[in-house]
Amino acid sequence: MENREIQIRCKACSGRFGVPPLQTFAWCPACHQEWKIKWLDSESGMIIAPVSWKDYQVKSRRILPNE
Amino acid sequence: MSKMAYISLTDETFRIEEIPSEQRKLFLGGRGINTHLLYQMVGEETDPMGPENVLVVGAGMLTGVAGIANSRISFSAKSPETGLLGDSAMGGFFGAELRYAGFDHLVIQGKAKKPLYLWIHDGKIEFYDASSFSTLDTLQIQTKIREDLKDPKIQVACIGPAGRNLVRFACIIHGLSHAAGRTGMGAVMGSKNLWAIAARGKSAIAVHDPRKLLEVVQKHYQQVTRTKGFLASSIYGTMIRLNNTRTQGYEGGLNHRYNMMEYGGEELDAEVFIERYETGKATCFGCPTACKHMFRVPRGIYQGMECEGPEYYGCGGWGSQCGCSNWETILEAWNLCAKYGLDVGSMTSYTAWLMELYEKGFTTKKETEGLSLEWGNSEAIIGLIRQVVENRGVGKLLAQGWIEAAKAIGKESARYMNHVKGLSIECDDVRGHRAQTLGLATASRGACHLRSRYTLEEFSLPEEATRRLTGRPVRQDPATYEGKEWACYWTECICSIADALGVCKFMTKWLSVGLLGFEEFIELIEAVTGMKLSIEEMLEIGERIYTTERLFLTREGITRKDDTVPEKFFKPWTHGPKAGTKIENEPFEKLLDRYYELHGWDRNGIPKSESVKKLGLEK
Ligand code: SF4
Ligand SMILES: [Zn+2]
Repeated sequence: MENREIQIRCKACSGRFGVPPLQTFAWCPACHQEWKIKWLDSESGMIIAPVSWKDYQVKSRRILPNE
Repeated sequence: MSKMAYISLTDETFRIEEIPSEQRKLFLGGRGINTHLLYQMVGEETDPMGPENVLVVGAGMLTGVAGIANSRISFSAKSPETGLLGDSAMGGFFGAELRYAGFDHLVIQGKAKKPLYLWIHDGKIEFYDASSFSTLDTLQIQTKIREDLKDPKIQVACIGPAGRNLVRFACIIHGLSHAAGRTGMGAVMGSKNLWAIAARGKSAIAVHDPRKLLEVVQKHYQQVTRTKGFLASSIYGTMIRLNNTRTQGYEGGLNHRYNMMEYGGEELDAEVFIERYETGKATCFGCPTACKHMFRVPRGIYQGMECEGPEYYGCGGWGSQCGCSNWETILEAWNLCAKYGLDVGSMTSYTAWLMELYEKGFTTKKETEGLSLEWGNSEAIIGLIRQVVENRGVGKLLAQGWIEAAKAIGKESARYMNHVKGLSIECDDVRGHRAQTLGLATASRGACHLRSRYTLEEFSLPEEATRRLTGRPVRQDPATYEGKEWACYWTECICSIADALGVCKFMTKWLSVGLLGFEEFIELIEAVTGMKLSIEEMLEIGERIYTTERLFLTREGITRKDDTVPEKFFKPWTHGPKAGTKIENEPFEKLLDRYYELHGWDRNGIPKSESVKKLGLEK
């Protein structure tokens, strides 16, 4: 069995990590964000969204005063 | 030989000229030749809504021949929205058809005594009465012209109620939603009583080496259809940016107050749109991508409504910027703008601006005729569009453009409009990307992502890859200022060339590394015209187009003080992975210095006489 991984760039920390082709969920090993992966073909995977938008948006909540 | 027609609407006459080969060499076509002619033909005294303004319509040099996504046609005039350079391009099939009808460029002057449309076919131009269009929307006008002239293959670019009512940000529409959107070119048509241009022709476009062209196009087809950029565009179109900007924390929220909203992600997701509303895909001339969505609303108050779109800037513009996470409101707003012929870029940002003013008490329900302009209010989003077109309520003010509206509203309301050189900033927030910020601050038609946004900055490409791509290494870190002047300059050149050739930027290296770039353009130009150009010469043509546009702006009084972004962008991002990022004044000013130097402009942003001379632009 081939043990290939496709490199994907994490949209939270910008680090790259490997994902087996056609796997539809992945954890970023650096920042632990869980992502949904969309496969355009077996060589081209991209992050399409966090597994939960709600959690992601809450986690990213305002951390600095604005205005 | 390629031809241009000088058309006088006042006298209903025209004369036809060949496009001088020198102009082709210096400016190629499309936006290049348009800009050159416009700079010569209008001046600082020209009233954008007066008969003396000139509307130049120009198909790209490659538009309509065998190729990939070579569909584009540019419309240029002095802008009624900004008072500066107006220029906007559309895809679809109109550009190709105009060339088959015998013309590459139209130079439209004067004002018709009564509403008319141009019927351009087989090398002829006829002036037809358009009074019967006075109650029709853009789609109905196109259908009527095809029926009246008994030819379903006629391609039409027209204005709708917004252009007829002289709304300053009216656009020109072709098909369901191909738009020459920004800078108010539809208002220029309206001011000239020119309500539509219809084209149909059967003449072939001369190609220097047809066999070679087919070889080159086949090679490019193989190349582009394998890329991630192509594959992603063919599924999501521009809507993918909705997900990307939000995950990475650069979606603009509530009139650029936030860089990321705290809600709405589950709903305003490209996958949700596709699953719930998409019925098919649509494309432009020669494009294998078909990035455009066809949609239908299956239920609710807009049940049965169908259109083509929406693009990202509509979704993010009414979405995060206006605080709305209701797809159906966004789809109806998009549909109305297409039918009325209103620029979505301006409509969305004007709505977000007014919502902020309403929140701060600058306007009340009295001025809005009862519309409650609260963030996210669907009725307000739709109601405001109707008010603009029907010239009532606060829409009556907006119809005059935001600059006049701000004067009427007063009390520092202009401070809350996010704009560059009078053109409103669209939804995404570029402050963490230094080349992109520079591009926004200096873009020649005012705030614009399609002229100088170094999109590749978002991909953190290794320096070696950017060296191969742009000719110089560009630092990987988006927050670095160093060397970003080159990234911006290179982008200006590739965008100018794409617009001059008529190639859609979504199929170029502007968007993704494996797509079309200078090398591919060189092969195409040689096959189509026999002209052999080097990459250096391509950059020089790009520089020439951009500097001509800068000369236009200089004549209107634009200087360094105008090459900036709104105050808000100098404050830190508050959310997301890159919270804390802001533009810093001093490094930004130094970046601007280096950018001017690269262009051969002085410290005030004015092209130096030796640079103008070197480019052959002295009068
Ligand atoms: S990429 Fe999209 S907008 Fe561009 S030519 Fe193709 S279908 Fe048209
Ligand atoms: Zn990560």
